[in-house]
Amino acid sequence: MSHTPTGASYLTDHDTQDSAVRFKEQTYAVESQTPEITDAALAAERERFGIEYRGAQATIEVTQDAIRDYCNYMGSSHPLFLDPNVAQQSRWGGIIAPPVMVGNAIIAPGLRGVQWIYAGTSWEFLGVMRPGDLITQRGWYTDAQEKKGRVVARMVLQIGETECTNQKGEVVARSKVYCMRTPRRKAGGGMGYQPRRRHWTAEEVAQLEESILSEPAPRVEPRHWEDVAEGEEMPTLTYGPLRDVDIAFTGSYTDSGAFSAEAVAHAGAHVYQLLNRRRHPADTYFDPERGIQDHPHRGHWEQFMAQEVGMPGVYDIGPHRLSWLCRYATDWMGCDGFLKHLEGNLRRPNVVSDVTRITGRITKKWMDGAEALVECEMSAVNQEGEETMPGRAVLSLPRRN
Amino acid sequence: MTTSAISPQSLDECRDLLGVWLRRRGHNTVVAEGAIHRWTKAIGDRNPLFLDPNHAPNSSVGAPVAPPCWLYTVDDTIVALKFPELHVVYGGTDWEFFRWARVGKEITTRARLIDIQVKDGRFSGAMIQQTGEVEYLGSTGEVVARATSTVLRTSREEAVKLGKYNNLEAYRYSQEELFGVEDAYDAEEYRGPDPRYWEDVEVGDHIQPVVKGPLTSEDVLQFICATRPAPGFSRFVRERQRHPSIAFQDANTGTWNSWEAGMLDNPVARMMGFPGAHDCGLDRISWVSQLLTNWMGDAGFLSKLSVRLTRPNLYGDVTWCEGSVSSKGSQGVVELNLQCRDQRGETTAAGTAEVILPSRVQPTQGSGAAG
Repeated sequence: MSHTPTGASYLTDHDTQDSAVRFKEQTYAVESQTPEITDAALAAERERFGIEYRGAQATIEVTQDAIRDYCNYMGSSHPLFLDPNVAQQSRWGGIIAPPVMVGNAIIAPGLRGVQWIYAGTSWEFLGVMRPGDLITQRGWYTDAQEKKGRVVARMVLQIGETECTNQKGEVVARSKVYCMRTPRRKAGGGMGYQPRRRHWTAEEVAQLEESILSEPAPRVEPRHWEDVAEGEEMPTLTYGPLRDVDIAFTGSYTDSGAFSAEAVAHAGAHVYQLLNRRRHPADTYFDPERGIQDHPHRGHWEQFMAQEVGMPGVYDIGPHRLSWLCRYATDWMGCDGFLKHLEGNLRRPNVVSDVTRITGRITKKWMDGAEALVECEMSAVNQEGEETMPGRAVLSLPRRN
Repeated sequence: MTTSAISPQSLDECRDLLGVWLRRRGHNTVVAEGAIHRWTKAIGDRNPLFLDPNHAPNSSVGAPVAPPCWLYTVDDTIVALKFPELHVVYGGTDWEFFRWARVGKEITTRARLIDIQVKDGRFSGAMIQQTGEVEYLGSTGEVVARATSTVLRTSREEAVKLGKYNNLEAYRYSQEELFGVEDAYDAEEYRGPDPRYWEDVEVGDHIQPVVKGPLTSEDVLQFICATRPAPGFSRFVRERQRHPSIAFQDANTGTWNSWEAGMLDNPVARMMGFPGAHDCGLDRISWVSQLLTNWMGDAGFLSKLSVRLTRPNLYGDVTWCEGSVSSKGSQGVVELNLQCRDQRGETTAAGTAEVILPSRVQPTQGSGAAG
């Protein structure tokens, strides 16, 4: 994984395909666009623990417009987030933001040229965010663990932590973010899922649409703690068949309202992409058809790159799928509930044309001082019967007086 | 498509709607700093006037403002009524800007169809050209801007049959060409606080070009997400059931998808007669507006911008936005000719602009500075 700037005349045009990235004033030799994970690379990682990660820094402006965008993106129609008149009647006195709008950072430094696969997030929510709030997000790289997987022999799980503070200095959320680094397909030990693209019949599509439209509307009225029983099943929510347009164009593949952010997804297009490639040449990918440089995360909407990464098809974006769990829990809780904790693990890929059904069950109910809490376990399962995302939430509910 | 194949019913219904103000469901409702940042970076604009909160208050504008074409995020200007069987191809915008859109301002819009024509073209044979007018209104009813837009309603089947762009192939760049693009990015000039005085501008002056490309999916989807996100998941299902024409059935998966996929996926683009995935059109016009705001500096005001889109801009294409001064009027007024040229040398968009520049002798005309 040498990464040394060399003289511009060092390599011929033919070499640019895989072994170098050429910019106007410099050529970066990259031993391979598809490096393996080595012991030396892992040792280098350990040196970085504890550093503040610039890529996690963001200012997130909470506005009604940004909230509405985020709801569109996560598939929520909750009046608590969208309808000021309804939300005014709640204990919050007005609309609040979906809590997972913050704390979504990818904290995965180093291991140049090794693909990122988002693995999960665990959030603690300490306060609500309202229109007019300005949230400052910071993040630290805290740990990396070597993992052996079903599909990939050697992977690295990178762990970071974020803290999100409002303009009054109050911490509204903390999160732990997990990112798996796996060699790309051509590298030894890379992922190699069998391609799949489910074909649905017209009848199946019609049935799916019908079940989506008949699923319960988000609950407005309070859900009292006394009325919830341990073991109770929660209603099913259906997402899909997943479309490339859902992944790419629904609004917040960069976080809604986020700006002044360093992360690639917030970095901007055109010249900003060029500047980013100059800073991180090994993360540049070549379009084999045109010879131009591109970003490796285009496997989220392009078949070619999804195959290079070793995914079974055009695959969704991790934080996007995690937001579905937030919708699931908040749809259920009623306007007076409060999501205190949410976690989700991305276990398997979710690709275009997959259908995901999310189910949940109340696993625990208890009082913590004056606070009435319930815990639920959630499970996202695709049409093949594979669990793609288990999750867990803790909710604070109002009590009957 | 022959003229007789154009639905006479839709034509009649459209003519009845001419001049009728329509309610709009837009995207952004408030000029907000976060929304400005996101969009400004999505068009690849680095102007500190729009991005640096410390710059704007000390500039001649006096407060943080949105780039002129940011208003596309409030309302995309598309007035495409009736003809559900026909595709919507964006044709261009004539913008009139009356004041800067300042941070904090609430903006609403209303729109009406003002013209409808049956036209003939090489792309899809007979087609409908619909002209819409969109007014952007501040909270006290003041007009912030007015956009007159055209959309072409084309037959997808006919466009595929005619295959106007069948010979257009993906372009393979030499390293020198790509370095040339990088040079142009590095040579971008932000006039900023240094006023460009009316007296110092000559007819025939070429202004510093702006380059965009080679276009990637990253560029297109950042623009779409910042400008007018597509309905997702159950919202898409509801929209599709209400308006079946927004979607097609994907042969590979059997599922419904929206035509926006043509800005992502080559096979979908080909279903509508485009040679491949392409930009959105509004983005190209926004790049041209950056060309002008770069050049005119903080003390200038873009009062009019007219851009016609003439050819598709495909993934992988480079767009050179160029302009030259065509005339000088009184009171700081300067007119410019504009064009977008791709790496093949084809003109993909053409237009004109009116810019009000500060004068060394006369005080600046007020319209630009007004909030």
